[in-house]
Amino acid sequence: MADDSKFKTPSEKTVKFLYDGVVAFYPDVAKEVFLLGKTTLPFHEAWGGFKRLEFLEFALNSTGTESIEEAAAAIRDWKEGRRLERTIPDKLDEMVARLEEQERLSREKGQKAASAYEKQKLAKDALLESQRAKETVPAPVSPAVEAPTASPEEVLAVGVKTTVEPGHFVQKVVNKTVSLPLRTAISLAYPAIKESVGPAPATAMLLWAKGVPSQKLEGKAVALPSKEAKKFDELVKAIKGIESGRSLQTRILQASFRIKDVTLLLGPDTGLTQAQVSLFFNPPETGGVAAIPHQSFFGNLVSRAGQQLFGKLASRAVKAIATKAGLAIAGEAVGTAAGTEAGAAVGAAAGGPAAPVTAIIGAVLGWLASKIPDLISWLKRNAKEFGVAAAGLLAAGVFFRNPFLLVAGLGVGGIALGAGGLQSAGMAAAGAVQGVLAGITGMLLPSIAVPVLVSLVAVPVVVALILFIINSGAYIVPPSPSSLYGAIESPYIGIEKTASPECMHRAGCPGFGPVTYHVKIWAKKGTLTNISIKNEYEIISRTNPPFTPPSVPEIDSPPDFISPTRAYEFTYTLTVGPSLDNSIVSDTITVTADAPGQNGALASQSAAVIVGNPPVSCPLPGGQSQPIHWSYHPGNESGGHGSNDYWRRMGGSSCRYSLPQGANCYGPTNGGNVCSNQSSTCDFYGYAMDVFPSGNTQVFAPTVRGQAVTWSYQGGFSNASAGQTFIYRSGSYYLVLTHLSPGAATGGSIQSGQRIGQLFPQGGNTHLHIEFSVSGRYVRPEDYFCR
Amino acid sequence: MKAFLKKYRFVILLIAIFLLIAAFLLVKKNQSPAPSPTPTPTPLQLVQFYPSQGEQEIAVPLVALAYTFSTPVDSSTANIIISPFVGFELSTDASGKILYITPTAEWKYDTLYKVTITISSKEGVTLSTPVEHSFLFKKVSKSNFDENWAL
Repeated sequence: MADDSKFKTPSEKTVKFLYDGVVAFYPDVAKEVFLLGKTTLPFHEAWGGFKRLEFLEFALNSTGTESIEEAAAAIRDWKEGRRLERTIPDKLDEMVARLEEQERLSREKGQKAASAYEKQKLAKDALLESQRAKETVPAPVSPAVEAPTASPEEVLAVGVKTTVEPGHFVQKVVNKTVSLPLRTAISLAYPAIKESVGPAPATAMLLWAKGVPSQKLEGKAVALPSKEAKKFDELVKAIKGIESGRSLQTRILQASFRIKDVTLLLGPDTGLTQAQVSLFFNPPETGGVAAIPHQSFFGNLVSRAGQQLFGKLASRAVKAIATKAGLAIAGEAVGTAAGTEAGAAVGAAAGGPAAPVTAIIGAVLGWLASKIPDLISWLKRNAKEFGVAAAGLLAAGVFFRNPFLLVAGLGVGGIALGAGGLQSAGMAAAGAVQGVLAGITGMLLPSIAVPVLVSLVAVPVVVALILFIINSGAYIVPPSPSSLYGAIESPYIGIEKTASPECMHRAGCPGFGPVTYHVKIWAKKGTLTNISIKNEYEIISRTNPPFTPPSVPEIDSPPDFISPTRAYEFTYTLTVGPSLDNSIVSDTITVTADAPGQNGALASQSAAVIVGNPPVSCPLPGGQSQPIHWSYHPGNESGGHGSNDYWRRMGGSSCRYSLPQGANCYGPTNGGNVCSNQSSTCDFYGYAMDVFPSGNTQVFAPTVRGQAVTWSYQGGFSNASAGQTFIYRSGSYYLVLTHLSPGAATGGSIQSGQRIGQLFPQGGNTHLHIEFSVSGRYVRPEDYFCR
Repeated sequence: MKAFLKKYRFVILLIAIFLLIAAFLLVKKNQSPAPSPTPTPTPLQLVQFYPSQGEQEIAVPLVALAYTFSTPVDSSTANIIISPFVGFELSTDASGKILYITPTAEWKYDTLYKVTITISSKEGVTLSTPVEHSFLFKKVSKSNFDENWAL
């Protein structure tokens, strides 16, 4: 730990700087720790010259803590005048003072603020100095602590200043307003797009959305040093790719922004304020070019409005949808071109011998029409996120009083509501859009043609919103039982099921014979009616033995009701003979009933009997697992624990837990992953697999690559609301099993095939998480188990 | 003379070529070999390491330390001191850049270990300053692991 003599009481300004940083970068933490009530705070990708991870490191170093939550608590205490005996280095106070001085000088020069580059450089200077103040550590070559002094090798920030064509003021305002939805979407989603497709494509999208034509950027790279020039050329290529795939939208955007010329500016000698520069490219630390979106007052307002209106949910949804949109933009050129062609034909038919504007509108209509069926199909898969994202966009439209969006939204909404049903509503909407818009083409004046066209781009989003509202009920009702795995708990129905004996024809167990099952079903809150009971067997075996389930009258003819005061209990037997040797007989009883609070309430419970030596190459026999549930492979961000796709699926903050868990490894050693910049990385990052039950929820001590071994319990810990972790060792093997119910085996020798415990019920998320280490190094568990 | 040259032109040509080759080889043989530029050895730096510095929670206490260097290292030149003493084995990955120190027994919880490493690269460059790494493992008390595939 650092020498306390280097620390002093922090200045009020510095504490405020740290406090504001937590609010900007970690709004959730800020809300909780700073007790900010119900305020919904915006999330910033870059703030005060810092990027998020840089601020995290800065805050942890400043407070001497291990997590942002602890850092926030320390900052809160400082702010309240407590815990002043252990505070931050002088250098940090100096840094804040320098930042403020910089700001003041900028203002005196008539500038609004220091450029992002300048702020960032100052922040890095301070960070480096604060690092030096710490105790000696091994000297990793870390981008975060690169010497910021200028050198021929230093990567420069590149700014883009755009000059627009002279035009009528009203025309400019209208153009900017109607292109707002798209720009809003991309700005809000920029962090997620960057995480998903990388900084360079995300930057390309941002520039494209701001109507910067690639041809205006071509040839500009000659002014840059070679390293930057190469990156810049790649960026231009990426923009070209988007332009060729989205030619119509490109034309609309470029017509809206009417950019006459683009000037490249090298930081920090630009001499311009951030507000005067469209955007800055950060040094490509991760191999790409990342943009800091222009944070104008207007842009911040949009961001804040979106966040305030829909909060965390909208933010997540917008990110999710835009991430997919970003990926689609990269790979959908052919389909879009075909759609536009078809649209031109529709337009020609609808518009007749009209002006070129009408033909363009026709193309839009055709494109929309060709896309809506695809949109519907895609919506079915992504309705939840898309719907909320669309709501956010519509809200932005409302907020900024965009009449085109409102008219389109209300009109399509009425039509769609009348039509009813997802598919029919979609098709009706598509037809209606064609009809209505074909009608208005004749009335359009050229002066408003472009704004209308831009608004039309947003129509699919509005259609999606309406479809989502119509069908939202489908996503609110509980999912069907088949979509759930393993034991299902219900607040209304209680089930207990036991098998006796739990094993036979193996050491310590009786021979073949009858297994007696006892079932108890009770009402938890009120009388259950309309009861149905189902019992399903699963035989996990190397062979496929014949099996005839027993007939149980109590299951076939359930009672008319079950009251809270009297449980429904019954017993039945299953005779197990040699034909079921070396098997696991697992059966699951499922009860459906109407309860006072819910019709069709559902609960299930399993019991298993081990016969002989069944195959236990998987700790969860009979479980299912797909490659996306397996381990991370560096460079493959589309699946596997810890990949960019994984974090997108998990929602919330990326990199928030170690993978493997309890290994203090928060990121891979390779670049390109959303967690690459974490302070603690390892070459076994993401080595874990998940297995989902297909009926059996009993967990067994497994063999290792088919070899029987003897395990012993080593320890464990709680996963709070996600069950418990149990660790078992056999020689140099360590097996970490997570999401088990309390009470799993903890004593003595445990042989392969022996029952360890039961999965912790998590509804549709019920699964077993497996990690495995051999001789001190984590390995990919799917190479050893369940394959 | 003209007739002679015309009749034996191919023989003369062959002899000329032969003589040229012979002269070339002779000159080349007498030339001293061109001094090749002395390759500048690549400096050896520590790029990454695992586990991180300081106190941390670890679920599996038998864990190999991993040090990633900027160039392949020669593990036979490694001088490693671990305090308090633990037995260990050294190995490298396929690229030779990652040095693994695998303890022969579990690390003890709540014990501060200090590791000092000096090592040379395969090119013979030694670390300018020894790596000094200290860590202390704590048992995991509670995990925030909340992965949810149902989102």
